[in-house]
Amino acid sequence: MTFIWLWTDFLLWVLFALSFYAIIKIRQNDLLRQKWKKIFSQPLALSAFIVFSFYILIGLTDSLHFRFDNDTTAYSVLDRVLLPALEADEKTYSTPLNYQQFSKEYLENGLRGRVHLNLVSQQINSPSENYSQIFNISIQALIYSIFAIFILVLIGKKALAINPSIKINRVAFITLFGVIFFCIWTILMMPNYHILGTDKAGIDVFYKAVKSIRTGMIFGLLTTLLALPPAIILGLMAGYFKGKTDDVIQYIYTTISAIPGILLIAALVLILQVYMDEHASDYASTLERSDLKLLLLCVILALTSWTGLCRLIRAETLKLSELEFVQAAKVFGVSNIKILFNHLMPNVMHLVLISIVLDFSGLVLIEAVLSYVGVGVDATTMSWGNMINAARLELSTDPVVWWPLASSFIFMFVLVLSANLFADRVRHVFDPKAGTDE
Amino acid sequence: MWTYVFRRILYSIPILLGVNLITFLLFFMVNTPDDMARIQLGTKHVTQADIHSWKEEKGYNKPLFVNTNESGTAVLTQTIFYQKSVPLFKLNFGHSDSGRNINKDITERMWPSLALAIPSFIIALITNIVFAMWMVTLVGTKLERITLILSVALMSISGLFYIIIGQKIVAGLWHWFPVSGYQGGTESWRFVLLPVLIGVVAGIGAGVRWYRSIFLEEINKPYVNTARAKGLSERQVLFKHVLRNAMIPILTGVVVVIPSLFMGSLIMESFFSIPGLGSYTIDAINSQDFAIVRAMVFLGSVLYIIGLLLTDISYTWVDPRVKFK
Repeated sequence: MTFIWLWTDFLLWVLFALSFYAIIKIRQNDLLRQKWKKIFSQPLALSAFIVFSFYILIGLTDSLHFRFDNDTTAYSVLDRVLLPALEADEKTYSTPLNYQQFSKEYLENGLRGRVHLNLVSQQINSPSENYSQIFNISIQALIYSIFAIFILVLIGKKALAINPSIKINRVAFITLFGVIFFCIWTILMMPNYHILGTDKAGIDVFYKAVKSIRTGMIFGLLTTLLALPPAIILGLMAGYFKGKTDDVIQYIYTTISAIPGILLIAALVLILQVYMDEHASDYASTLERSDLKLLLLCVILALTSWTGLCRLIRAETLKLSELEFVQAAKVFGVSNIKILFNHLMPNVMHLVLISIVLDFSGLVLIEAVLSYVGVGVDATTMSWGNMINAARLELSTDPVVWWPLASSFIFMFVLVLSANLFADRVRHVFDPKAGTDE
Repeated sequence: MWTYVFRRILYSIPILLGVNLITFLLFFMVNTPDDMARIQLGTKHVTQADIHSWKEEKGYNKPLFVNTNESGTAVLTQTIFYQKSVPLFKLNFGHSDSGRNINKDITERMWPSLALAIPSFIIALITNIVFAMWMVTLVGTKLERITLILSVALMSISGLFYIIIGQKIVAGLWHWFPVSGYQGGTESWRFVLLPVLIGVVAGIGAGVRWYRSIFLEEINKPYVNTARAKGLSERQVLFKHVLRNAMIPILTGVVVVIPSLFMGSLIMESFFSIPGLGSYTIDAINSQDFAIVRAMVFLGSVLYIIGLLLTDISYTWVDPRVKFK
């Protein structure tokens, strides 16, 4: 077994390590710790965070790729978990949790009827048998998850004894229970059913929707990660050095933001596509190729999205550099670089944090739009945008094939909603202007 | 004031030059004209002579920046950069890679775009402000919390879903409106109604929250207390005092997009097959017509810069304190 490190895998884990480092730093700083505590004191924000972390966890398990020695296909850890659905090899559409195919066709015995799905046990031959099995599995999952949450509470009690400031609140508890139940239910359901049905080519829709999480995650997180360095460095420099430096930096970001965002992205992606087609032989596998395209898409989005944050940081730095502590540092002969990074940067970090959480949901949403316009991720990459795009035509069939669209909708909605709710709270706590009400 | 406007226009010239340079670098350096020729002619069985004649025909057969074969100013003017940039500044976009007259296309297609964009813009503006005002009156109640979460939920839904579901339900099941297509003249409203409706609903979540935050900032100011103390009704306070004073932040966000309405909406137009500039751009992207995409990028930047200029001018109209330096 050999591990394969894709570029996006690597960067996602780097990001994970960075946020881990940030958590340690936050714990050391009293003021920050209090602010974060305030964020989580709102039940809604806490449960949004739980759901969001769950998505991140799935994205991370999907970012460990390896290949068996006697096999050419690369798997991620998540692929192995979802393997039964992946290998079921159905022919065509089937509705969620059904035991038969969606459409009728001629069977081996010459009659017209619905073909039994490969994944579902052959003993199930009527809807009532099907329902009773689904019911049994669900009850089983419920029992397991109650058991799991019981253990968690026991462990949690110990943790609470150490840190009594954390209070268990009801909404967060319900959310946690929901997430655990969903996990266990899925794991039990997976080998027996296509949870969200299958698509036209017989591929499990649930598998596609779950795999899309990683794509959305990368879009939302990596883009901001890539946009931060230019935004922070140029913003600080413009605000601190003023004069010519400021003029040049202002000119650069005004020019870039003058170009309509989506058109600039489209143009860049078009050029990228042509370039990749011309150099198609340079990539070892389609996986690497589509991964590189995903990464470059993030770079393109980052190129067009750093200007907003840069403008905010510049304005804040202009104000800050007039304050006494910066003047004092100057008088003491602290070097410019030290002033920029030790004195000014920590004081604009709240802007950075707010913009990370606010931009995330927008970036996840824009992925779908880009796919629709035809400048999105590679067709072989699983993403909600590609799913929506394919499902658009299915809605006009009769009877309606609704489940691929509905699945991508739900998965995307839950992620974006939790990100938005959490972002709201973060802004509320960290933005001195937004904190006035309540 | 006119000297100020004149200075602002002068100031926008280097920005446009920068935009032009960026688009030029993108479109001609990364993909050489040879690559473009191969795309347009199809990848199979293309000889070097075919490429050469295509470049000759489209005017791509010159060096990029410096033409060493010429003398005098022609060293710089007889280049692709000069030949392809200068007409842009005269808003003469020339011909597309497939041979169509871009200017003629734009003047034809701007009307459907405007027919869709202007009603969407106005109706969305009014509904968002009215809803935001209503939410401001709810401050501190349970209903406020519900409406706030509802608006977050509404803005968490991808715009594509609004369009797909709207098209499916309203047009497909109830047969109220045509599903897609467009017809000019007096009949056009029937085709525009559904996209406008969907556009307004899709934008309401984010819009209402934005206006609400503006109003909330205003409502904490002392003049509101004074107005209330005078015994004015809450409606008078909101509509006469708060709304007027909130005009400045509202204008900052609103005026800048007005000129860009002209560009149309990429997604809406292509979904509802409205032959506007948005769907024109999408078609150009899909057929990899670089001349059209480049023209639209430039046009979009010009309109954005005009929008910034209009924003500054509109300040004097609503806020007498603003003086031009």
